[in-house]
Amino acid sequence: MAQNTPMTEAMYYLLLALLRPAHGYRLMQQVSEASGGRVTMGAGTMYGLLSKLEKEGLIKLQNQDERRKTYALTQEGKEALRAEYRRLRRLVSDGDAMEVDEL
Amino acid sequence: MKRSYRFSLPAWAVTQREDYYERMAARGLFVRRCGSIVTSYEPREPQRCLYRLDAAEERNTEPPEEQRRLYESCGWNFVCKSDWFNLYTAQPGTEELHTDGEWQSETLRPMRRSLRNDLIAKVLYAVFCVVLFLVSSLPFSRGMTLWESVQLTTAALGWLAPITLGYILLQVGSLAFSFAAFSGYVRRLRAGRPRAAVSGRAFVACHMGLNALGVVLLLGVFALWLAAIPRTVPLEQAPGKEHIVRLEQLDPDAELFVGTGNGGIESGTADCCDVPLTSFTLDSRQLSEPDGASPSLFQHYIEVLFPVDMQAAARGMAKKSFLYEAVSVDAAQLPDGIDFAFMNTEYEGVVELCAVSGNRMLALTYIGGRADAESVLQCAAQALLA
Repeated sequence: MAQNTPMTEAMYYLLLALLRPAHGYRLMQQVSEASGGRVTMGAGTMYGLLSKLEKEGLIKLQNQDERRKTYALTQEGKEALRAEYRRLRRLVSDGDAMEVDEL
Repeated sequence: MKRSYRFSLPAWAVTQREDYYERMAARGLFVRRCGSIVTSYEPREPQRCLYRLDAAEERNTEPPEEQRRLYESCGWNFVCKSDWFNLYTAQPGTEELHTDGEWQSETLRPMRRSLRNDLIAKVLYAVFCVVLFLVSSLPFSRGMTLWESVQLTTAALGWLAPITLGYILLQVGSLAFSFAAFSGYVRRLRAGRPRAAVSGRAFVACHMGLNALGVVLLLGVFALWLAAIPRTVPLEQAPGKEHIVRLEQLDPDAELFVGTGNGGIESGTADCCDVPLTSFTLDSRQLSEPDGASPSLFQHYIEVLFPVDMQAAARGMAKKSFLYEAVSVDAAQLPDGIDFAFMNTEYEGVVELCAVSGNRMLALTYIGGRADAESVLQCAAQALLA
């Protein structure tokens, strides 16, 4: 799914944060760090996205103890992230070619 | 400390409810449990705090432990489940529970679908009630127009019809409003405005007012249904008994039947209807003989809610209540004081009659006796002119 459809910002940063397996609260911090504090993710959004991505097979449960679950990217998730990254790069390079920055 | 209870706001009014709970907390009342009708509050030291409703995975289920822990680690504590939602509270300044409106709107889809289905069901129910109302009067087989039939049936039901219709329309309108408002909220979320500035005050007042109106209408319907249940009263206490003519006087062996209004042919002896020209309600009473024998008489008092043409009303009554088609009685045959009458004598042993004098009407069916049509007509005149 994510390979064909542009991801939302939250989803992209969540997959980025999942390059290092982590549990929910840690992921929220990683999202904030990865975006330089620009993107913050509420607990409700985080939990909902984790459930959705797990259902779509982009992430998997790596470890579960009594208190928390740790998630990691699946191979499909990595491919989806790479595809989105390439798409974003293409968008930027197309903009560069048109010297958008010079406007 | 004593718990406090308030009417619950509707489940779909998300921001209004959050706003309301926050104001209650500032007054020292903290939500304890959300019911579909009543919400209970716990009194504590007044405190400013945030409340947020989060879509539940399934209706009326509490959040899984993992979700609760994640929310708690972010400062959001579970309060209670509430139909399609779970309610959380946090200190002011806590990061919003949802930061992605588009995703949040996705979580609300099942509830929106449920609201839409409820609305469709309610509209179908309203249509069914109207069809049942029209069919119940069976207008076409007796040659009445649909409008005549609706007038007579409405009149027969009295205030029950408009109040029931009002209640159904209020429910349909309320659901349509809920669906439209909730859809608007979902659209706002999708457009990236998760917390639209919605003040709950006017909404709460409006909601409470409509609730009160709904309760009044419901109680009204209930009271009218109760009043419509036939009551057995001794014959000597029957209202209007001076108008009752015991047709047994004509023929003690006759099997006598009376029928008027919406009830078709009823067993009894005679029926007399007062028909004021300004109102029309039908009040049926089943009367018993003084010795407690089986019920033998139904009496209907009719008031007309609208100006009515008595001749048309009598024709309608005859068409509606009689087994056989009645014809107008020739003016020369009418007893003194009777303006007009409709009668059927085609079937042997049966005399059906509807006679009018001024604004009073009498309808009866005489079966199996020996009295002739002229005697029955005289008897009706005697009753009407009494």
